[in-house]
Amino acid sequence: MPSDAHTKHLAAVAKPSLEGFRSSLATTIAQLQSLVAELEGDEAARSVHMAEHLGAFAQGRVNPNRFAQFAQGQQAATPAAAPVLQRAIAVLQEVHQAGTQLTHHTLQPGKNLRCLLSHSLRQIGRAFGAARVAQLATAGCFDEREHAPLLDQYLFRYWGPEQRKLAPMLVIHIEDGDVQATNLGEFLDGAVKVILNFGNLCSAAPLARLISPGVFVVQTTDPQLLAEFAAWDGPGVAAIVPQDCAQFVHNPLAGTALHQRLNLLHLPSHAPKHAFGGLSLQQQMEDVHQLQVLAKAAESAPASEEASPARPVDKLAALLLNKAHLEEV
Amino acid sequence: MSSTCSLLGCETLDNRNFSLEDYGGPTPRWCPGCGDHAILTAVQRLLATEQLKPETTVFVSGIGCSSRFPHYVETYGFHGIHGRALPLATGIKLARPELDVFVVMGDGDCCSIGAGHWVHAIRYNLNLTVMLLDNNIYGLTKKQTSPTTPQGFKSNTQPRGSYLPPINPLQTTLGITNASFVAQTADWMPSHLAATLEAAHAHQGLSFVRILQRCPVFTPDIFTEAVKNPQITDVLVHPQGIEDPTSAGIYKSQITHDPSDIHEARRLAEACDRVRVGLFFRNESFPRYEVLRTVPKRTVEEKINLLNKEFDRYAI
Amino acid sequence: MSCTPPSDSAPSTTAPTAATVHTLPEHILEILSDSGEGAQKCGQSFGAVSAKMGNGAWTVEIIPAEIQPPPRTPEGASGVRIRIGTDEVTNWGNRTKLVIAFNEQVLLSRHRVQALADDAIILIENMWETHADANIRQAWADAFAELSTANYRFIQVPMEEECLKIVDNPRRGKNMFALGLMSWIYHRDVEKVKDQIAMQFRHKPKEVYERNVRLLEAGIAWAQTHLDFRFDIPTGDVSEDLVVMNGNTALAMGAVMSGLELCSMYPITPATSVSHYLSSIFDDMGGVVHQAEDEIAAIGVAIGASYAGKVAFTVTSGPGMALKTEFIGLAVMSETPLVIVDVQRGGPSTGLPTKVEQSDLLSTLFASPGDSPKVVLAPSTIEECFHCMITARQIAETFRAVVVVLSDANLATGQQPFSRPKLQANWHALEPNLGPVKDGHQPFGWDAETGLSQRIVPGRLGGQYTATGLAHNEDSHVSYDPYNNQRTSAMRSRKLAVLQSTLEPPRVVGPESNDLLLVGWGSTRGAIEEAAEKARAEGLGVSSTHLTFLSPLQPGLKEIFSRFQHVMTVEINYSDEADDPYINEENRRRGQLSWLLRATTLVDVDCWTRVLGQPLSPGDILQVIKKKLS
Repeated sequence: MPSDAHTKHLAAVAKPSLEGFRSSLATTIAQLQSLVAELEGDEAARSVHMAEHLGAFAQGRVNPNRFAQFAQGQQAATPAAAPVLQRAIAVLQEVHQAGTQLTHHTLQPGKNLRCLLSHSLRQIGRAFGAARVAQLATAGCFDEREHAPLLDQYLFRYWGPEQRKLAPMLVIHIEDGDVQATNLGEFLDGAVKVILNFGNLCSAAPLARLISPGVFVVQTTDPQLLAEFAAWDGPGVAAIVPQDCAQFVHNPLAGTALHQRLNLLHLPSHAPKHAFGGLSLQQQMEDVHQLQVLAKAAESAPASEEASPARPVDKLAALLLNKAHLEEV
Repeated sequence: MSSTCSLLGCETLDNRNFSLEDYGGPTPRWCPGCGDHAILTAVQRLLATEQLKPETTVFVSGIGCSSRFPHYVETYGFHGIHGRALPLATGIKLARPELDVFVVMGDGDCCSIGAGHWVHAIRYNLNLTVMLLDNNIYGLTKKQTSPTTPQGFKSNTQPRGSYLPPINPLQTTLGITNASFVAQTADWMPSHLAATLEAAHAHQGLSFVRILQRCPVFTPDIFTEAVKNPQITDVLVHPQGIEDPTSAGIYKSQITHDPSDIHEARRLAEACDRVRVGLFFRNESFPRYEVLRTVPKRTVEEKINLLNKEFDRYAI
Repeated sequence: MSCTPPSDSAPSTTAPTAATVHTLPEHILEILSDSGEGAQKCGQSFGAVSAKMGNGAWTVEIIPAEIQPPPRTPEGASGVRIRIGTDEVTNWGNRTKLVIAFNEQVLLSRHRVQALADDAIILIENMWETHADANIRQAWADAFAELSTANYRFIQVPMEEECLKIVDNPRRGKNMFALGLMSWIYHRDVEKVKDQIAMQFRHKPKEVYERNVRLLEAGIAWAQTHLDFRFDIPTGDVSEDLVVMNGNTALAMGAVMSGLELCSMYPITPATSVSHYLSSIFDDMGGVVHQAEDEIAAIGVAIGASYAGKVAFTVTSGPGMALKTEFIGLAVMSETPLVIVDVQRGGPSTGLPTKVEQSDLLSTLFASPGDSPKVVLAPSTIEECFHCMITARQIAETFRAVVVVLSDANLATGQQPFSRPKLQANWHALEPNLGPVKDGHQPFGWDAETGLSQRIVPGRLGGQYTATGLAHNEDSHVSYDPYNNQRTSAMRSRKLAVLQSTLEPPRVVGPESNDLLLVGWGSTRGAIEEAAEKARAEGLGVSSTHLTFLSPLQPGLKEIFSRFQHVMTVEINYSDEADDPYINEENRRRGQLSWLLRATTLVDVDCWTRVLGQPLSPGDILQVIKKKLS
C-alpha cells in the first residue's frame, strides 16, 4: 500500500496544476454568469451591472442604463441563449466542485489503468464540452440535438491543443490491477501529466517504453524528486516505485541528445520473479532491457559529437528532434 | 504573452480536411503575368499541404501590389499601412502565439519605408513566415525607383536611371543579430518556391524569404535573362537545406552550401551576376521573442490579489 | 537670526530657548538641489509621509531636462514642491513659504520665476560662502545680491559638515539630512519617516538603511538645536483607507485592473515611467510590456494585438502621438479597439520634455488623415488616472473605438493621497469568446442607426475576413463605391454621437448661474476650483466646471453656458493675448478647449492660458477672475 507520507506529498505536487485548472473554470463560470445576468436581468439589474463594468470614472458621467443598451448590441447572444448557458454553467460548477475527486484515483485490483485514465479525462473534459456549448450558444449557433450531448461527455480525442495544455495532473494510487503503462501513450500530449503511485509491488521498469523525446518520464522511489516533473509544461508520466525497481529521469529540457536527457539512477539487481499487473516475466524483462539499451546508447555517445552530429544515425536523430520542435515546449 | 485563461478561448480538435479551394478568395486583381499570381498559388498549396485551419491562420501585409495578398486568401487577414506589416504581425503573434501568422511585403514596404521594422523584427525572431515579394520597383504607384531597383534602371522618379546600387536584402538580413532563417527563391521556379515556403513555414522562428517577382508592366526586362537562361541561376543545395529534386534537371548549377555556415551564407549573398536561390542560413536555436515573453496566465481573482499587494505598498 | 544676508551673519551655534510653534491650515515647502543629490526622493518621501499622517498633500517635481546638468546652475535645479494641509490639497498652491536649498544657484532659479513668497524662510547649505574656489565665492556673493530684492529669511545650515560626520560622500546623504530638518520643522512622525526610508532601500543591504537613518537623525538633532520655529499642520481625520502615488503609477495599475495585457511603448518623457512601473509588476500579473523599436511600431504592435484578441494599449507623449497618427487612422478605419495614453508635455517639437502642458487636445482630435473620429478622456486627478483606464478600455471595446487618455506631466509625477480603490472583478476585461461565428455575421455589420457592429477575432470558425485600412463594406471587402464611403464615414462618426447620448452633462461647482463660468480640463481642476471658491468667498460671482470627456463632449454645454454672463476656459496651452500687437477678435488663436467649445456651442468662450511649463496657481487664476469681472 502507498504510504500516507507519499500520498500527502503527491497531493501537494499535483495541487498547483489542479488549482490552475479550477481557476480557469472559475473565470469561465464568472464570465458566463455575467453574461446570463446581462441577458436575463431586468433593466435595473443590467444598469447596475454595466455601472460596475464602466468603473468609478464613469460614475455620474456615463449613464449605465443607456450605455448597457449599446453594450448589449455587442453580444451575438439573445436572451434565448440564457437557459443553455445555465446548463453549461451547471456542468462547469459540478466539475469545479469535484476538486481532487477529478484527479486523484485508486486503481482497484483487476481494473484497467487505461480505462481509469480515459474515464478520468472524460470527467475533466465535461468542462470543455460545457465551454464549447457556451461558445456556440453565445455565438447564436447552438443546436440542441447536435450539441447538447457535449454537456454529458467530451472524449479526450476531441480535446484541442489549449485544452490538452489545461489538463490538471492526475494521481493514480495503484493497489494492483492491469497496469500496462504503455497504454498511456495516447494521452501523453499537451500538458497531460500522470503520476502512478505504486505501493510495495511493481514491475521492474513499467515506464521504460514510454521514453520519447518530448515526454518527461521519471521512475523514482523518492517523491521529492518530482519538482522538475511538476514544473515541466509538456506531457509526462511519473512512477513512485518500490526499492530495487529501475530508477531513472528522462527530462526533455535537459538537452536534445538522449544522453543529455536520460539519467539512469538504478537498475534492478535481480530479474523479476513475479508477474505483475498483467505483465509476464518476459515482458518485464523486455522493459528492463529496453532501458538498458537506451542507457547504453546514451553513455556511449561521445560528448564532442554533440555540436555537429556526423554519423548518419545521429543526423537522423537530430533531424527528428528538429522536426519535433523541442524548444517550443 | 499568456494564452487565454478562460475555457471559452479554447478551440476543439476536428477532422476537417482542407482542399486548395478552401483557401481560395476572390479573383486577384493583379496584372496578367504578374509574379504574385504564382506566389499566391504556391502559398495556397502550402496551406493545403500543411492543412492549416483557415480560422487560425492570419496573413498580414502592408501597402503595395503584393499587399493585396490577404484579400485573396480565405483566412483571417490584416491589410495594414505602408511599411508596417511587421509591427502588426508582432502584435498578433504576441497576443495569440497559437495563430499561424504570415507576412507579405513588397520591396518598398520592407526595404524602404518599413526598413526599421525589418531590422528589429528579424532580431525579435518571432515565429512568423515572412515573404518579401521583390519586383525591384514601386508598382501600385506606377514605376518609382525602389531600394532594390538595379542601378541605372530608369523610372518616373529617376528618369536618368537609378543613381545608387540597390540594397541587398539577403545580405542585410544576414547581417542582423538573431536572423534565424534566410532564403531566396523566384516566382518562376514553382517547385523551388513551394519547397522554400514549406521549409520556411516549418522553421521555428522568423523565416525570411525573398521571392524574386516579375512585374510585366514596369520591370519586364529585369528578370528576363534569369527566366530564359537557367544557367545563370545557382541553386544552393545541402541535406540540411531546401530539397527540390523537381527543378534539378533545369537548374544544373548547384552549389553545396551548409546552411549553418553564416560566413559562407554572407559570401554567397553578395551581389554578382548570378541569381542564387536556396537556403542561405538557418539556426533554430536562436532565442524567440514570444517564447521569452511568455508570462503566466492569471485569473482576475489572482490579479486582484496581486494588485492589492501593490496597493499595500502605497497605502497610508 | 533675522533676514540679513548670510554673508553678514554667522550661523547661530547656541540652541534657541524654545522654538515657537506656528499652527497653520496649510504650508508650501520646496527642497532644491543639483540633479543627482536626491532632493526629489527626499521631497516625495516627505509628501508620502505627510499623506500617511493624514495631511492633504500634493507634490510637484521640479525637473531639469538633462540627466546630469552642470552642478550649481539655475537650469540644473532639481527638486520638489510639497503643499500640505489639514484638508484635501488639490493643486500645488501659490508661493513657497519654506525652502531647503543645497546651493544658492538652484535657489536663484526659483527666485527668478517668482515661485517663492516674499517672506519665505530659506535654509541654505553654507559651504559655498567660504569655498576654496574664488569663482564659487563670487557666485555666492552675486547670488545674494540678486536675492536681496526679496525679504527672505536666510538660515545657514552646515549640511556638508554635518553629513561628513556620518558619510564620506555627503552628495549622497544630504537629502536624508534635509529630510531630518523638514521632519522636525513639520512635526513629522519619525517612525513613519523611517518606514518610508526602509521601503525606499528595501532592495539594498541593511547598512544603507541604517546610514540613512543616522543622517535623518542628525538633521533632526541639528534642527532641534538651532531653529527657533516649527510648523504644525494639524492632520485631518483619515476615515477611509488611502493610498498615495503618482499619476503614472496609478495609470499603470488601472491598466492592469482593466484587463489590458499588452502595453507596447517606446521610451518618451514624461510617459515612460508608466512602463517602468508596469515592467516591474506586469510579468507576474500575466501581462507584457513590449518596448518597440520606435513610436510607430509601438502602436502597430498594440493594434495587431487588439485585432487578435484582448484590447491592448500604448503609452506616449506629444511627439510620439505625432508619429502614431497614421496608425491611429488604421485603427479607426479597421475599428480595432485601442487605448492610447498621452502624457502631455510642453511643445511644439521637443519643447519642454519634462514640463507640463495641455497642448495635445486639438492634435489628438484631428491629427490623422481623413476624418478619424476617436474618443478622448482626460483624468483630472491622480485617482482618476487609475479609474479612467477601466472606463477607457470598456468604451474601446463596446464602440470598437480608439480611446485616447490625455494625462499630463503634472499628474504623471505629482503625488496625491486618494481613496484606495476597492478592486472589483467586473472592472476587468472578459476573455474573448472564440466560439464559431454565426452564418451571416459580418465583420462590419453596422447597425444603420448607431454605427455599432460586432467585432470578430481570429480563431473564430467561419469568421474569416481581412481587416483593411482601405474603404470597405460590411464584409470588409475593399470598396471604392462613392455612396459606400459616405455611408461608412457616417457609421464611424455616428458612434461618437451614440456615446454622447450615454453621457451626463458636467457638474457645475458653485451657483448654477452666475457672472463667470470657468471651464477647465485635465490636471488644472484643483487650482481652478480653489481659485473660484476663493473668489466666491470674496463675493465674486464665479462658478466652474471641469470636462473629463473631450470627444465626444459631455452634453448640455450650450445650455449651461447660457446661464452665465461670461464663459472662459483656463488651460495650460498657448493662446494669443487679446491685446497683443496685431491680434484682433478674428485672428486671435485661442486656448485649445475654448477653440473647441466655440466651434461646438457657438458661444463666445474666452480663454486664459499659460505655457510656463508649470502647473497653474490658484492665486494667478484668482487675479484673472478679478480682471475679467472688473
